[in-house]
Amino acid sequence: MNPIILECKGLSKRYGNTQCAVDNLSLSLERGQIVGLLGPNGSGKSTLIKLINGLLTPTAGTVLIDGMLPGVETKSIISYLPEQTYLSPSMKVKDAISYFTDFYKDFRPDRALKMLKDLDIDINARFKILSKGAKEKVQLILVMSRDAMLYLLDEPIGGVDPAAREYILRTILMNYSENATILLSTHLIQDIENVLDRVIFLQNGRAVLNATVDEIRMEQKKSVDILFREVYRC
Amino acid sequence: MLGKLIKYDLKAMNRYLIIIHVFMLSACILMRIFLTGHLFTEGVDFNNRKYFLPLVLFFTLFIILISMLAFAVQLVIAVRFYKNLFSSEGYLTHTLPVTSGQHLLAKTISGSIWAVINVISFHIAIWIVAATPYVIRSITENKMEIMDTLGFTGSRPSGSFHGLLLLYMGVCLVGAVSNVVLFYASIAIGQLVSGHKILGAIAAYFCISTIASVAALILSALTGLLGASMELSSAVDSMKYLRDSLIVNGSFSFLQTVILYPVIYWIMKKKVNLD
Repeated sequence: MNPIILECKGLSKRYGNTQCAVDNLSLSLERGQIVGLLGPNGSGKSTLIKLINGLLTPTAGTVLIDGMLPGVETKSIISYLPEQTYLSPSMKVKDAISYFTDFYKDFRPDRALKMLKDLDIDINARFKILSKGAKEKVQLILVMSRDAMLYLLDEPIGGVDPAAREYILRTILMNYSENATILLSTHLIQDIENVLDRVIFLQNGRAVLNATVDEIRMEQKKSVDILFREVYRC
Repeated sequence: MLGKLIKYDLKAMNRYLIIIHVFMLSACILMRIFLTGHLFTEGVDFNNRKYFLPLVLFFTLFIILISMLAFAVQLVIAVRFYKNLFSSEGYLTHTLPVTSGQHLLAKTISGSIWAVINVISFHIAIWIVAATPYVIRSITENKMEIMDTLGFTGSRPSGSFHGLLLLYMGVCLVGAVSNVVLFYASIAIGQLVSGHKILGAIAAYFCISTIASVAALILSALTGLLGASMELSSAVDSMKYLRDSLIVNGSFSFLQTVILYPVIYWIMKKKVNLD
């Protein structure tokens, strides 16, 4: 088994002629880690995640997932939670479960149903009547009910209250296997610092830091949150 | 996977399209009961003003209604394509373990199924509205004479009626699929205009339509159809002209589909950019 689950080589994404969202980025991630993709708004976090998913076409460079370019094989091993609500408002929660069961071999409907029951979410409810927080929880449950190799979570705790944040983090931690890697983007460092193994700081589309949380604490004698504030001080 | 994609596409469109078609057929039944049922009857003098005005009004209304509903059907098919692939729903659609080719084929098949249903419904609608017992009886009683006048039978038959009917049905089917592909191509090309994707899609639609119209005109001129329309002297000539027009039209729609389909595929495979 390839120990590297994700590798970016000179990856760039430009919008128009000037704006560079990801700039000549090279990094590799090993299996079995929870990695925080950190940076302020507009630093390129979502763009990088979309490039890994094949939702954006790179301007230059390549991205390899388990040694493969984005395609059908990589999509079957990546579980992606976007920032947006991607389920049709007219869809019922149980329809979404059927949809995931139909398309993802690694989806575990029993796990999803259990989590939905724990949260008192009615599976017969349509997405258009669910609150924003409930929608986000359902999407997270769907994503974490897959036995994927790489989880890409774009701002999973961005728009929810602190109690929900705790639930979401617990859900993430309880539902991924040891060999899987989680790459989650956020700017709410304090809430997730304790669950991270590694952090990548992005600034203007470039990785300005790629280190383990232990390295930061041991070598710099700082928490990730304090280091983040120093690096991105306005 | 293809079957599953088609199933979900149809499921998403069915709700709206069933309502549209039920409305269309209900409107036609009402028109038949309250209008044509009274107009197309025995002993009616169609030159009489009393009948002429309601007839003109009815046909105008009917054409407007049918055109609006046909447009609504195409709109639902196009919106499904756009929303499912290029709006926020695209974040899920494009991360399914499915190839771009399968996505496009599924959308084309599901869209074409409804486009064909629409064509069939359109003909059923005309049948409901126009085929009153009086009209049917008149056609049946004068069938031989009509067939003879149109040149399908008689001393110099110009072709078979069933052949022409089959050709017409074939061209309708090709045209329905071609229209679906034209909408998809416009939307896909519109995605290349960053920040103005819907505007880009509308502009692409008008550009492709204009180019297609000019090309169709050139093709008609090259095949002699353009001049022939000016020289029609009999019903037999008209049928021959109709047959030739159908062949040129069908071929053109087919050619348009063959050109546009790979363009959509290329954009979906190489140029997807969900901002």
